[in-house]
Amino acid sequence: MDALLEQFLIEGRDQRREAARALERLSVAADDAHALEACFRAVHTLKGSTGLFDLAPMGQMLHVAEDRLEAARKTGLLQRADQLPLLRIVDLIEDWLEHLAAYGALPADAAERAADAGSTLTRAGRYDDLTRPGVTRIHYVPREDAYFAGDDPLAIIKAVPHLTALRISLRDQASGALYDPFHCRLVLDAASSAPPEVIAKALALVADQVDLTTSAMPEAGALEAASLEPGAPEARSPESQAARTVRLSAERLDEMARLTEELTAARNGLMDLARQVEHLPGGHDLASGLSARLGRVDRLSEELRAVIGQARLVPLSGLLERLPRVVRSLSQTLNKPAALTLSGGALELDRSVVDGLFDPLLHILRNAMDHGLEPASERAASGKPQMGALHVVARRQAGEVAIDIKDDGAGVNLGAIRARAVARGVLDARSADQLDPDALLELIFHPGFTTARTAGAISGRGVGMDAVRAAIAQLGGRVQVRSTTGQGTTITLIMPASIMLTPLALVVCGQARYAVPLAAVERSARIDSGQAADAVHLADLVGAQRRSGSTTLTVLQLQRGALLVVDGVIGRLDAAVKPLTGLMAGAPGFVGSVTTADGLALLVLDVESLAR
Amino acid sequence: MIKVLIVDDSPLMRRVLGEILSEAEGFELAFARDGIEALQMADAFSPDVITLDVQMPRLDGLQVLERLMVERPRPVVMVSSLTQQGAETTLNALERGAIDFVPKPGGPASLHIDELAPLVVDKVRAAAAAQPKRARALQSTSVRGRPRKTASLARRRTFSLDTGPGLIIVGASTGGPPALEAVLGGLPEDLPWPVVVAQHMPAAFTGSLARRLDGLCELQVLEVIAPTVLETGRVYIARGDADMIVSRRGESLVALPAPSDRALRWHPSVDRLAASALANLDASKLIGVLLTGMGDDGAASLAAIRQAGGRTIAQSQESAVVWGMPGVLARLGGADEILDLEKMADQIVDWISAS
Amino acid sequence: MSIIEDGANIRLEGLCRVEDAEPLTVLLQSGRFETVDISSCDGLHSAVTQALLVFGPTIIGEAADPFVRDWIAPALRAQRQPDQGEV
Repeated sequence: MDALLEQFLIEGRDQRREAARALERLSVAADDAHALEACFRAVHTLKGSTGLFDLAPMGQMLHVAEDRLEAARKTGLLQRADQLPLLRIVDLIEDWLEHLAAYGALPADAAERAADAGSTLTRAGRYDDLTRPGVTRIHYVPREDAYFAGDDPLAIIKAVPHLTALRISLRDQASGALYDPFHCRLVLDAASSAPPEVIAKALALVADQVDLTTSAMPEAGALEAASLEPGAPEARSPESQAARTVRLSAERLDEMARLTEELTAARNGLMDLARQVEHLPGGHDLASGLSARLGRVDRLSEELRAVIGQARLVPLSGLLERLPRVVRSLSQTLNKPAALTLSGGALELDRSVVDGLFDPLLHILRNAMDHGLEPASERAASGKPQMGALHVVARRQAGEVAIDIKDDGAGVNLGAIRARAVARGVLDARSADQLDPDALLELIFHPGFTTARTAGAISGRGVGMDAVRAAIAQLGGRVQVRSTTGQGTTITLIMPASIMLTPLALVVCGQARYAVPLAAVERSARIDSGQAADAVHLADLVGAQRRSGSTTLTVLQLQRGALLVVDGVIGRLDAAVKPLTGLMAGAPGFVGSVTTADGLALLVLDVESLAR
Repeated sequence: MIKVLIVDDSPLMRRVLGEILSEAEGFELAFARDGIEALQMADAFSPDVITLDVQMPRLDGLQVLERLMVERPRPVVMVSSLTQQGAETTLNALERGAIDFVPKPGGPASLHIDELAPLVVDKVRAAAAAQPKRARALQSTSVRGRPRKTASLARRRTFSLDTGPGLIIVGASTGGPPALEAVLGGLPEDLPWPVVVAQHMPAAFTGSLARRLDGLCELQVLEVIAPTVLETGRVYIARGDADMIVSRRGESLVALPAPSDRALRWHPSVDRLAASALANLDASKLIGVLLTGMGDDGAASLAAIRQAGGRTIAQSQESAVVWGMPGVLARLGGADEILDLEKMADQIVDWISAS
Repeated sequence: MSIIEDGANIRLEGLCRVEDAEPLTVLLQSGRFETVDISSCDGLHSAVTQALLVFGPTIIGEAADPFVRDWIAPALRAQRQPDQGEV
């Protein structure tokens, strides 16, 4: 079977299970926000992956389900009437995934059943004159609190050029007795003959509430099973080889990694105890005995850690090879010719990181194709080759793996960002004007600041660059963006080569403890205060008092020779560094936090920025 | 120079608040990492204002607040997360004598730093000028205890426009929650007029405020999240981040949330609520009460109610945390009475009995 | 003031903003009005349009504003037609 389809089946089953589980929870408590979110996300992701194959009926059905869940997510409540139809859809998906696994295609009656299942969820919308060929259909369901949010949905539609039709209807029959005029119940269906990207731009502010369909595209028809390339069956590994390798389930491997981390954490606890014993009267001998044995535990757990870490590493090639197909299909849908080059597939990353990278990469590529690359005509006019160039390059960078996603499109429109930031109330006009280009670019990661897009098949709803950043942060990585007007945008994902524990030096300054990545420390030393003229004082950085009166100072000598003055070095710790979240994410000088054996959260210094 | 003590166990949060205030100028700052240090610094540094994190090791924010209020009262501004639990704790703190609160940076529903900074500066400045109270509300709640709440639906009447009773409008801002508790808590269960309340607060907090007042008052207290028919014996709290207006549905008087009027600075707006009440009811059937708070919201509209023949109360300067709104009302000559909190409920009942 | 009572007719004048949706609701709910005249209307907020859609008065007049005249008014009239049998 096609390796890509196999991957889809594995993920699809997970997502279906996730959705089913969430629906079960919702049948108990229809307002369970976590379950709603989980269900929406599972359906959303599954719908997104469906678009990579010719699984139109499945995609349509999931799209309807997603609509419904999105509405529920906004009201915070899944309507009882929707629960059973949704469960039926999820069951149908299960059947179809298994059918797909067995026969490589959906069952023959899939389109019919999809329409059936979908119509139980939505009152079928009639579009009349909205379906003229060549126009783009706009289906806009404003948020129920749109008026409170300051939106005027009709004014937004008014801004769409070349309107050819407008229908205004109500999403439900408003009750007369206590009618609430400020609860938005409108459903706006419109059509425009303007190019889809122009329409999308006009609706950018409410992209999450709008579906665009260009009727020139073939209506979702019956599935053509033939288009699922049958291909040669994959060569099976010979029996003899199977005897020497044991297939280990990914869960088992995860469990082993988790236990190793716990072992290391437990060891850290013992180290603490050993230090305390040291200070007891007569405890010195006991302490050194303890230390010696701990040293051996240390080495063994280090080896174990390394072995498991090795076993978890997989090459990036499996991930990267899934991308050309995405680009091909997007290129067709958007009518933008584009070529994708890949490099660095041999680099290895932790399996969970590689798995987790697919959705963010997909999203970034969609953005690049959808908004980065200009239409071919525009490219020709500005002297660029008509074929857009996309590069995904994985490379090593200072012990981490960086993945660049480059396009040679128009670059990010800073003016538009500024305008949207002001329109969305993220910034006032005055501070927006004062922001430099880098800070403006940074705004695309602001929650709710999703980039413009046509919804539906191309880019999903409700998942923006903020979600990309969050997903990458969860994997222990970070996202950078560079953009040059007219020349393109590069988004760089910087991922840890291993998400296992990081060795840290613990230092004290003032009354707080901080951690410094050991990899960045050459050595620690005590030096004469006279020699420390160029040194950086940690106290200054964290707003503590410099310790005074001492003629010698404790310093960490960092790479490139920089000196960091601390009040003391109190030990070492191996821990998983978690990225800072929320407002703290922007705090200069820190890369993350770690949790010590006694549950305290310590900040980890960003040595690179300190050394500058 | 306003001396501000920033109390927070997170070095980063201390730094964020510290930077916000030092960029604003006019502040001298000191920091404490936990409750014990805070109490020591309150003596050593003698701050004009204290910003207090709720969750801290050793001695948490509420405990610190209680000791401060007993031992050396100072204006305290709570730093609160905009969550359900944050709302409850913050209201507890306001009841125990904190002046005001600002949302905590970095929470799930947090404001952007550019919006947060001016808010923090404004609130800390206002708090510096405010008068901390010695755990006033503690006495009142412990004495009164939990009132019985008898469901006397038979006596509850829907508000009729022609023959119906009047309406009490209450506006409050900084220092409002404990003041509301004192006024509303003093009103009897069989109060024949409904009460509508606009307390400047975010939407994350008004639901908790309503639930809390409901537990403390004889009257039923609820938050208005959709058009609601006004009934006697009930108090209607405006939902935050929006305005509330009074209007009609057939013969009934209703209150409903309305999108914030962008021309006004504070929401829910007291002026908009009072003006909508005056548009729907004869002024003689209105009583306006303006409680503690920054700014002047409500002063103009309550003065208009008095001018048209209605009655109004401004909170006295001595009992107000910030004598902004009631002060402006008094200066406009818009107040029939200028009263301490404890006397307001009786005055309201007297006026209603006489009419 | 953009909402004017005129016998059994309501006249919308100038820009009808979001806050006008409530007074318009009160009038339409009273049952005293059959028609809404939009000939001097320079713009309709969605909330006002929604109230017109919910209560379904007959829309009369040609609006001054082209978007109201060419798009909103026809859309409102089109929605009203199927119900007229019941009225």
